[in-house]
Amino acid sequence: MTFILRQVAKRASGGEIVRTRDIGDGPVRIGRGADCDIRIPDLAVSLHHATLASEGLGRLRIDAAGDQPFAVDGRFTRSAVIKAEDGAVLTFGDHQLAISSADAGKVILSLTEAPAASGHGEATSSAELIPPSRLLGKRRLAWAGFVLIGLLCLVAPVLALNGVFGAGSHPRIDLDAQWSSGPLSKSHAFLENDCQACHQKAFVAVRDDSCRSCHAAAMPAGTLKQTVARVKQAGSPDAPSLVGDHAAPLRLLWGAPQKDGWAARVVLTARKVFNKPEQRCVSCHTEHVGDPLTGPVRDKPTQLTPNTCVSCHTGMAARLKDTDLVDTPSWARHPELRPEVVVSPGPLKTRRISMASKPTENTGLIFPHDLHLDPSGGAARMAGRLGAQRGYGGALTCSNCHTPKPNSDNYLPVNMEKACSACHSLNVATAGGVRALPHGDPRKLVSFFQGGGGPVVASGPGAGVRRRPGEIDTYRGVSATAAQRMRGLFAAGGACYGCHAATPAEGAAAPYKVGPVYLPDHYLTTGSFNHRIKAHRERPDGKESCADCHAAAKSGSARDILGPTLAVCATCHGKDKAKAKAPQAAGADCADCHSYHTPQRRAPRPDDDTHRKAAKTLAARERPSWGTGG
Amino acid sequence: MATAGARGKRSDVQTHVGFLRHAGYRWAWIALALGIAAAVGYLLIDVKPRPNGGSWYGYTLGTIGALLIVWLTTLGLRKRAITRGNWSLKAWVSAHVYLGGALVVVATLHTGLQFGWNVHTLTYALMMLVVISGLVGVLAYVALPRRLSNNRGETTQKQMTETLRSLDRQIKDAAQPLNQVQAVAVRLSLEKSQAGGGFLRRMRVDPVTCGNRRAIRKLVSLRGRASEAEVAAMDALAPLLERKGVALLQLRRHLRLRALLSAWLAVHVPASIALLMALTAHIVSVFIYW
Repeated sequence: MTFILRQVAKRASGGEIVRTRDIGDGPVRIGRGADCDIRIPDLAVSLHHATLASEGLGRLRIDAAGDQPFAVDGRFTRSAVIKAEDGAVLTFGDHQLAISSADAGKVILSLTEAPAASGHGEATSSAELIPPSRLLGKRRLAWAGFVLIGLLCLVAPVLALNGVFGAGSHPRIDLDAQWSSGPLSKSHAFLENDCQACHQKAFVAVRDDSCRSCHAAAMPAGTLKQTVARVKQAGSPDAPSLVGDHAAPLRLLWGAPQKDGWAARVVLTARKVFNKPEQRCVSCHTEHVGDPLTGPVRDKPTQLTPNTCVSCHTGMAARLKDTDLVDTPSWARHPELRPEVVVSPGPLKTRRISMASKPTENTGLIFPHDLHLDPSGGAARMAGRLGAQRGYGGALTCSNCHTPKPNSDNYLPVNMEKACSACHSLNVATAGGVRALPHGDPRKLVSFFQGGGGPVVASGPGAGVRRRPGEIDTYRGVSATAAQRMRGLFAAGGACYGCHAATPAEGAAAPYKVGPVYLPDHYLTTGSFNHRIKAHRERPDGKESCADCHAAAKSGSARDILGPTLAVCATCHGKDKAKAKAPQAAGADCADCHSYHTPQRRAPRPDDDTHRKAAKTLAARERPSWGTGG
Repeated sequence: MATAGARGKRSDVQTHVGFLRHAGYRWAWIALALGIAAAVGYLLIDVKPRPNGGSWYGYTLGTIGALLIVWLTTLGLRKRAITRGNWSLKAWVSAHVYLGGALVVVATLHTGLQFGWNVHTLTYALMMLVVISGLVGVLAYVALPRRLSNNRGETTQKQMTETLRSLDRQIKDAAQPLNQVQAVAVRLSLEKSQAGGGFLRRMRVDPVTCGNRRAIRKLVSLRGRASEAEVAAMDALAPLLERKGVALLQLRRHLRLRALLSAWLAVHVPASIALLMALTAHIVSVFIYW
């Protein structure tokens, strides 16, 4: 059997070069070595890799010379016998040796170089030497970041605030918390996870309605109770403080001075374009201003003052044509106090009159202060007789009649029974002995004289309708005896006559007309005077200082307004502290007397709970006035 | 007319001016003025209750910053169209670099130095990442081209790979007389000598795992047991492997420098795109909870 070697080389241009060589009868040495019959220049092939020999009967035997195997038709082996006429393909490294038989006992061995697999043999191209791996996928990373941030920071919170996730979301996962630019103050911290409590509408800046839902002073009592319960349940540290409007929102806008200049105009235009109006609650009370990392350190929302009191209350008439407020450009030019004076007790009429015009009032009561305060007068002697056991002793002082109201900066209304009856006895002789007359209610008086059975129903033009203050009642069913006794009381020399102005009856049967009494519990309407401040109450030596402001000892009539003028306030307030004599120097801050949020009433004080009941206090200004009839 | 052309020079040839020095540092001055103006405003304007992105000055700075960011990212579109003149790509890049620096001042003042775990600070952090990676890019563009050119000499990357391929052929021929064990060592050089690859691989210029280095070491250790003919073949191989080592080093240095020249972009570009979305979320969220 003869072996013929066909060496096939590929041309660069394509096509093949075939060299044929007769290599005898064998055995045929195959390997990389120079002494081999079939040389394979591949470093993966041994110097003598295998031997091919004829076994006769057309069979060929291939044996590996060393440990390295070779492949027969793709299967690795170290020894193989094949039929020459069947043919086979042997693989050595990257070369293939195809065996085929020709006629006349010739075996043709075709040696071809297989294309080198990647990473095998020397680098054939630069692409192979430098793997075409990208450094980092910029585009993929960019899209990933873009989409991830879009989903997490924009889409998810928007869906959450539109309630898409509903109750299914975990209560501790708050998707829009990442939008908060800073912590809320301690008083609002419980709303931290409830953005919609204030930001009620998307793209609409926080409106006053959000604030009013908890803080409106005008809230009905039932709603207030619910609100307090609601915020307490949500974790609020205290009940919401109740505030009223300084003025109607539009009047606030118009009354505030408009800044001039292009910068102000730009800001104004920007406010309009971005729908961020001025004079909202949040214009002064801002949240989210703290350091986001430290949490709530501010107790209350941070307060700003876009306009001071003076800046609005100067030249206001030019902006608000119908205003009746007097300009206050400074403390020095503060208008004179204008107490609300009772012009007529029944029907009740009050008017604010400047102290400069020395107003007098008509309360319906006869009371000379000077007579009572005279240290050598009858009242003083009487008080001396009553003695210290009954709270008197020596001349009368203010506090004998005027008692401070607990938890308030004001005084309790003067109570006749407590303040006057020690001297002005209400005792009368009746069939059942000496008894005290009931004071203040004509119905009780009628009842007193009729032995308990007085008229219940009033009659007259307004019978059945609720009596309005100041209206005079007439009663039916009053017995002649009772009527006579009462006429006696109110006639000259009667027990009531001295204090209550009464018009004598024209006929014996006609009733006396007794004017109603209206004692105001305060005179100042837009500010207040805190009687509880020590410097307001006492002189430096500890004696009560009422007389410094109230010239009661010189007042001979209850018609006198005993309040001070502003000049009296100015003896202490608004003085240069360095120049003034201590301890009388005091500031003159608007807020010392006035409250922005309850402008119609006294300034709220930290130790005063009246402002919490502002709504109630405003309503409780009426005191019953009374009349009697036969 | 004594134009440059008339004097025998090409009128459009000038000495090269990089993007940093473009037009006598015009954009550097503009950016500096913007930064100083923003800082002076910040110091002079007493924003109550404290400096904050939500004050009128904060909104002003924020608007300037947002417009700057949008304009700066448009370089990605602009760079695909190279033009000349005042609004040349070079001028654009110059403005991009310097205004990007001014953006740091504007945006930092816009924050009022209030940072937290929120979308607003995320936006700021991304912006800073973009600017810092951009700064790295500028430094790379200043320092690396010279080193690239020094390493390259007069050759090109293609020539470098050609050299290696030719060396591989010579090594393969010279290794033919070696026995199997020795041949395996040589194959390490032929098959395991990679250049390039991923970023970290590119950073290693002369790795211990380099096939060529391993082949040299192995052949030295096999030398003692080799026959005379094999020693002769090894002696022929040694200088070839040495030369391949040098060629590999040069190619790897080249690839490393090229990787460094574009590596910053792998941060700069994705962070810019992410920043655009974060900026959108920042602005939209502010207006939703206005």
